[in-house]
Amino acid sequence: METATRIENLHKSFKLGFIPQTKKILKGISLTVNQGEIFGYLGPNGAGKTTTIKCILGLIFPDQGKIELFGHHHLSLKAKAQIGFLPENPYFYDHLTASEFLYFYSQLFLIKKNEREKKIKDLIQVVGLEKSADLQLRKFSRGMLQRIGLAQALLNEPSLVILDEPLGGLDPIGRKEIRDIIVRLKEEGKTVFLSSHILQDIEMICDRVAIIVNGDIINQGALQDLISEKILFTEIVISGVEINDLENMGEPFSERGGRILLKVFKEEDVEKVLEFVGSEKGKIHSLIPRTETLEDLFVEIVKQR
Amino acid sequence: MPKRYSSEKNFSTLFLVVLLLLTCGVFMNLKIATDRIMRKKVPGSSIIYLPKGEYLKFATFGYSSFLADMIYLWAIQYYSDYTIPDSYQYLEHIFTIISELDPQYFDAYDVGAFIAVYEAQDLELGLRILDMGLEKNPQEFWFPYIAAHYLQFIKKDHEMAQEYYKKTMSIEGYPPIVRRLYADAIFKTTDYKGAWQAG
Amino acid sequence: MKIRAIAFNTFREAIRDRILYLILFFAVVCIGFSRLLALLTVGDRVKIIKDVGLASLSLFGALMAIMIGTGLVYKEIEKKTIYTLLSKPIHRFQFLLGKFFGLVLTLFIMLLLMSIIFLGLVFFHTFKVEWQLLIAILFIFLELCLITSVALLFSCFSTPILSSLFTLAFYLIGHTAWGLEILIQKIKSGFGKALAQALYHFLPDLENFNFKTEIVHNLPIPPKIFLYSILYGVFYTLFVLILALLIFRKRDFI
Repeated sequence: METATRIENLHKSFKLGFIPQTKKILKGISLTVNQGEIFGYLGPNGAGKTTTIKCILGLIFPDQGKIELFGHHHLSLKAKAQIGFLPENPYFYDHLTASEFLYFYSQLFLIKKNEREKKIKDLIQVVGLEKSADLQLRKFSRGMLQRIGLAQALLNEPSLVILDEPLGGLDPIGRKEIRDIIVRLKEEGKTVFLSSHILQDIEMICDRVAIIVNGDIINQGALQDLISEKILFTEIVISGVEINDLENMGEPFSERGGRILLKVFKEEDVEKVLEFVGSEKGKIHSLIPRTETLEDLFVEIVKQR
Repeated sequence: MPKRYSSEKNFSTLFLVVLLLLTCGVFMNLKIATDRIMRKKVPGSSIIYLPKGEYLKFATFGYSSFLADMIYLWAIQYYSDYTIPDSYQYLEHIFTIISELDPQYFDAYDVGAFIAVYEAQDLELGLRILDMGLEKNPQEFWFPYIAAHYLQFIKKDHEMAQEYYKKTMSIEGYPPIVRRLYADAIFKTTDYKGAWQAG
Repeated sequence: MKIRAIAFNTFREAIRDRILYLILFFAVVCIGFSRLLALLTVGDRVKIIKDVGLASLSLFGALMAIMIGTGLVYKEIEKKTIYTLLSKPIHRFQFLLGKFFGLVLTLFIMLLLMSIIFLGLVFFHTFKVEWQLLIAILFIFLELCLITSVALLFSCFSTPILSSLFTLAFYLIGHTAWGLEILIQKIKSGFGKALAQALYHFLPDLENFNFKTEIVHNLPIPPKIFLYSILYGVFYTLFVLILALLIFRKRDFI
């Protein structure tokens, strides 16, 4: 099976400033995206995420390296016909209405005329903009622009959808809706490549991730391989017990309403706490083991750099 | 496949560069061809439509002296180019405009009159130009002086010449020769006594 | 066709630009003003209306071409609308040509509007339709196409202000090329002269499109020059467009 995206040894520098100084943005990126998966591309600001994406799309020409999309050269029209792209902070021709905008883009895909209208209608429905189909884009809110952007990315029924920070600037409901759309895309057999800062969302939907810091890929692989399932600590919420008695079993913090939050680091101590609370006739309100999150991993990696 | 693609790209770039040079060659040759075709030119003919100087001054935003220079330079080129058939009908108009834009422009009156007299063979016009010059610059003896000169030696109108010599002599700084020329003019009108007295 | 789609989109955007109508307003004022100017002049009245009218069409048309043309590509890059566009399966040349034809169409409409008003005024004075004026206007349009291509070229890599200045410089050089010819005659033969002559032939000669004087004075025009001028315009425009494409193709959109 062809990989959706294969990047090998990608290098890119820019000459910036009035007296041009070469700044190396990508220092040899290599990554693979398999078909049918949701791939997360993470990194701090300025790491090179958007630059990588622009190289893939042919907006920027790399100094060195190879990029293949479904086995085709990334600049070939065949490759481009199979991708959909949503840029960060999308901005579109604001004098057009949503429908006119989609119609214009559909003309660039050689979609048959009689199919166009139907497709546009369907897409507007998918992204939830039926009410604003005839509204000029200049009157769209940030969230609405994001959605119409997603619609134009899906016009050609792409096999690979590239999303640059798709969840930025959205409220929690908006984020959930976009996340749902992305998951649905995967169910339809599409491949999704998304870059983001918002690690919780990545953790929720991505199958594989790559972490880029300062132009280098630090880590790449399946999400569960990267994050150990090891329990870091257990959070137990207790009441009816004296806070001082708990101090040798973990880190207690007092909460409102007389409840104590206890962080227990050793697994055997958890048993001790349960026994102790039982003997003191106290109450256990909740017991949550905390595993390593993507955020922890990320912070750790960035700190190391 | 990537290798093939990048060589395709280089090929298309080469193709475009070749096309670029070809089109350049074509239009440069076309330019040579169009230059060869003699077009009936009335070069600068639109200057005829310049409104009178008083109005033109408003349009010049304070650059009236500069504009006077430009028009003057153009006029020199225009009237000295013998391949342009021109009947000098607008000569007065042009030089009137120049004088209105920059009344102190000495050369304009001098050369304008010169063109009028020698090229257009119109002494009256030359005199009018010099009169304008004197009117706007009463301290310049040259204008009546050269006017008298033209009158005396070209038109041989010694009476009028006398008038102009008198005008010249009423301005400070005139060269001594003027007196003698004046005397000569009177002499030519056979007023020997007056000539002797003037000289 | 993809070029057509982009052309119409560009046209739709350009025709909404208010600056066009501002310039149109001034053009109409000028054409109307020629009526007044005719009273001040020494020459034939209708001739001055024709002369000023054609000059207005040419000048204001050029202004429109410069104002809109220099923003054409630059705006797309600044506003990043170009990202989604170029990530689609289109060639960069299709984008560029689409922009060019879109603006040419816009200028055509604007010139048509101005021409109708101008010819109307002339008709009002002469009570006959002067077809030769259409020839002059046609060549003005050709000149505008060339200016548009130059504005587009600069728009590919420069800010609108600089692009406007460069395009304006192109326009001025184009109309004063004959001055260079006169200067060259005064240079002594040799390498310097040859170089100057090569430069002279390369620099645009926009006077090739200027038939205003002949048409207004009803002078005979050798028909060969029409053909040569049209070809000159076409090839020079092509040259500029290819140059623009060569630059645009290599461009990184950071």
